[in-house]
Amino acid sequence: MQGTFNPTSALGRDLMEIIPRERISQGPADRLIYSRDMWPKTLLSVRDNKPSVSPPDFIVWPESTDEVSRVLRLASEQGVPVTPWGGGSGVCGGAMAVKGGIILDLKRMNRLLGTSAEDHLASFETGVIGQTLEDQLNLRGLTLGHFPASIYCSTLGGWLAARSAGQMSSRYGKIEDMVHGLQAVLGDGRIITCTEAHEPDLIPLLVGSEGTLGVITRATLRVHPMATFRTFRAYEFPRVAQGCEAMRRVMQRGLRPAVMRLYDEVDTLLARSSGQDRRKHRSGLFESVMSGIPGLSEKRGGEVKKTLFRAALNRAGMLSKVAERLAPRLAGGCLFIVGWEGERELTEVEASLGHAELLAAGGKDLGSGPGQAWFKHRYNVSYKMSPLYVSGAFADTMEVAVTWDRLLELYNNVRQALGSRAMVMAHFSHAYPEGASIYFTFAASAEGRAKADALYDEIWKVGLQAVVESGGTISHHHGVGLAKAAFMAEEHGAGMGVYRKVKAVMDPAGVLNPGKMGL
Amino acid sequence: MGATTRDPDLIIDELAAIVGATHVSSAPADVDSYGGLEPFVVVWPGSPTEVARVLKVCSENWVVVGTAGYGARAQGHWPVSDGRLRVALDTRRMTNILDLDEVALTAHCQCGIQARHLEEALRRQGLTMGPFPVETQVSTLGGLLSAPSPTAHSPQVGWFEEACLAATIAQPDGTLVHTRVAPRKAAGPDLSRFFIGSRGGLGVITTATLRVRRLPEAEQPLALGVTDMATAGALARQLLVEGARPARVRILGSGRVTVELGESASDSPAVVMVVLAGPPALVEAEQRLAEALCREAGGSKLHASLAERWWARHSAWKDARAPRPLRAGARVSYSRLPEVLEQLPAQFKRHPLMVWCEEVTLQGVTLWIASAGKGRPVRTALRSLLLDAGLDPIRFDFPPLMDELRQQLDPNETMVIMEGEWSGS
Repeated sequence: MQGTFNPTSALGRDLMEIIPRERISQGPADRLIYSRDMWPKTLLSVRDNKPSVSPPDFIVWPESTDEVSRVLRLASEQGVPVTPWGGGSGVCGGAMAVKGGIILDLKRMNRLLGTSAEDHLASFETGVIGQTLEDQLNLRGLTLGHFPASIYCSTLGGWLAARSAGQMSSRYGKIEDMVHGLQAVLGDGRIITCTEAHEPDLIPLLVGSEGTLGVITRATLRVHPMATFRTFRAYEFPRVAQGCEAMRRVMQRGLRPAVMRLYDEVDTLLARSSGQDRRKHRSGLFESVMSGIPGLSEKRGGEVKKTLFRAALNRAGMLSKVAERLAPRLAGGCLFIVGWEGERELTEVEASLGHAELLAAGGKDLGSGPGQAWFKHRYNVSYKMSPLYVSGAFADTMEVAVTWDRLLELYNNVRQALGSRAMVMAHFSHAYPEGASIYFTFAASAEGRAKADALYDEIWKVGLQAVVESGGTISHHHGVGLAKAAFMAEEHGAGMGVYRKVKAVMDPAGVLNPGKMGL
Repeated sequence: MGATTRDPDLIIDELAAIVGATHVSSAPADVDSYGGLEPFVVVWPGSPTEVARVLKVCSENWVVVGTAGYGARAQGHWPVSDGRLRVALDTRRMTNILDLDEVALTAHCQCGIQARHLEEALRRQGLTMGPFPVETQVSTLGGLLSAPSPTAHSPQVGWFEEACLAATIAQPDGTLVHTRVAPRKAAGPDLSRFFIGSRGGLGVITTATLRVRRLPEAEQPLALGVTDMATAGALARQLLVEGARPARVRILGSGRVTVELGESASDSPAVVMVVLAGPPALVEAEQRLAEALCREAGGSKLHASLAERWWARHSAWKDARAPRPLRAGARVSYSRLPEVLEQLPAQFKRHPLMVWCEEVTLQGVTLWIASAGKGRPVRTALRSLLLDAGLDPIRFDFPPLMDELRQQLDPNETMVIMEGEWSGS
């Protein structure tokens, strides 16, 4: 935080009655830092040196549920917007203070409140960073089993707010599957406690509400024994369809892989061209794409690459068609990674059954290397501006989910919708007995900020429209925020009326995270 | 809150216009079968749209609606309202399986279907809802979702209601909310789960899309005898810790071993019944693990025929209707289980106290106690035993905030909430 807080407004003085001045800031640097989360669209502003997309008026760092309650009561009485903040790692704009007001940063509420190894339960304050939480459990021989790529920079509260999924959700479930109980503060400051039980409870409302209904301050989680054995295997499938069918067969056989990932031909090409180095792949689509273009060596110079790449993305439709044609030949097929973990004896049996199933489904065994490489680099996320943005282009990801019967239809429809506007690739992950998630990555470019904004919005619009029309859900694990807010009505229909009525009860003054979720 | 003012006959006419005259009845033989609800008329809607229209008419006319299926748990637990007319909305005409997707393994069903009939239809296709106790199949699908049974659980697949991927809910204002079918979502709160468990108080669940499963390739019941119930609890826990996912686990303790397994098992103070199901190689590995853990705990595997007979009986439909003693139950963690068991008396009102555990998870079990006695005082006394042991007996509560939400969603308080303690199916 920046400087000493000297309130110049009545609200500032009122906040100081609740939170000590060293935990309140109105400093320009803090307001700048908290003006955006990791929503890629905001990078377009940053690139134009206009980073203050939506600065808050105050940032406060509460240390207890009581302080959160008092801040919310004050905000509710004065009609001041409050935006809960965890790690700021969300990629949908869900933590942006679009109407100013107070940012409520919970990261000082990061205590482990208790664990019971015998009962496989652990209670935390929700400001705890994901990896810190996991480390504390590991010390006790436990794991949450929740490993999102953002684990180093996201908080438990953020996971709960956006219904996060970890990379091993096929075995351990999503975060909502792990909640045993919650404590939350409603918009008017009321503190409630919910425990999972066979009676009506509010956990399903609070989890996934992205701070629009309440601020989750504590959570008791169901945890697991740490795995003592882990094994990976990779396969190659001729086409996406065969790979999807293989995933379905494994899940519906009743097996529990920790992770299954199928890359389509374009994504496989990128993974291969970076030597399975997912760090490189993740850190720069630009670098990965460039290194995947035959004959364009590193020596040819960065500027040439950038110019070529941007020029290519300006004709993304054409590039997409070329990639679609070339990728199957260059990649040779679709990369499929499967990982198993748990106690050795049963895990080995499951892995063996899975191996037989994948071979029977047409997979070619590639050994353990690609899976181990993925595991080693699974958290590598770049915190720098992507070179792709620097080059003038932009990229984003769209994670959706659908049942198996419509999976390929959705995949093809979204690719078709995006393909004329962007270069697009996808991988299939987070498999369940009834369906899977598809993670689309797209990149495009347009001359000038206004055109780039318009193209970005257009891509999201046609992409999500294709998702909805194909029977899928608009989000599997990133949440809604601002990015998908316009599609909440399509997703929920009359359910939005229920959501609004619920908000009227839980946040009667409408101060919690306004402007989000289509509310 | 005032009484219903409109002429009841006019309301009946309006309801008949929605569902058809043959699907409305005010005959005593019909209205008398809804226990404490005491409706003046029964309606049998045939579709979600009809349900929504019925609710709207009732709401507009200040009439109270109680939703009923087979009444497995709801019978006799309707709070009587102050002078308002009451309608019983019986869902038992809505029994269609609208779609059975054998690729995604999902079943889209109307909620008036009895779970037993749904399970039979699934089994004809080599599918199943899952290895849930047959006693839960007495209920309609709507009943299982609106008032989930605390016994509808399998360590392999979780609680029954978790298999609900999406639902259609009719609301008192006449709207139908359809939640989206997807394996998992992150597009806002889970509205399906919000309505599940609300006991009809927030609306009527009219259809649901369920995750279903293929029938297991192999099934292996086991009976593992150990020295005491605390050891049995620890054994069941360790089985899950080691990664096994049994279809069913039941821990039989004091007074229960001979009831369920017969005199030949009476030498075992406690028995862990385990049913393993899945691919044969996995079942075999889990069986080796279970037997090894049993030996480590100082126990021994009982004769296979005991386990097979037990499982044959418990998977048969007639078991669902078998008379059961009054029981009370509470969730208890493994860390507390030994001390709680210590506190329970061996005798209860001159009968042996039967003790068993089920709904086994990594966090704990449901501890059930029962007695041969009858009547409400016995049930109350059983619950007192659990309370005395520091447990929180299973019951249905409508939390205060949920009541506020209900007032927002149903300002005319049209929907009656089933009340009371859980009394078993």
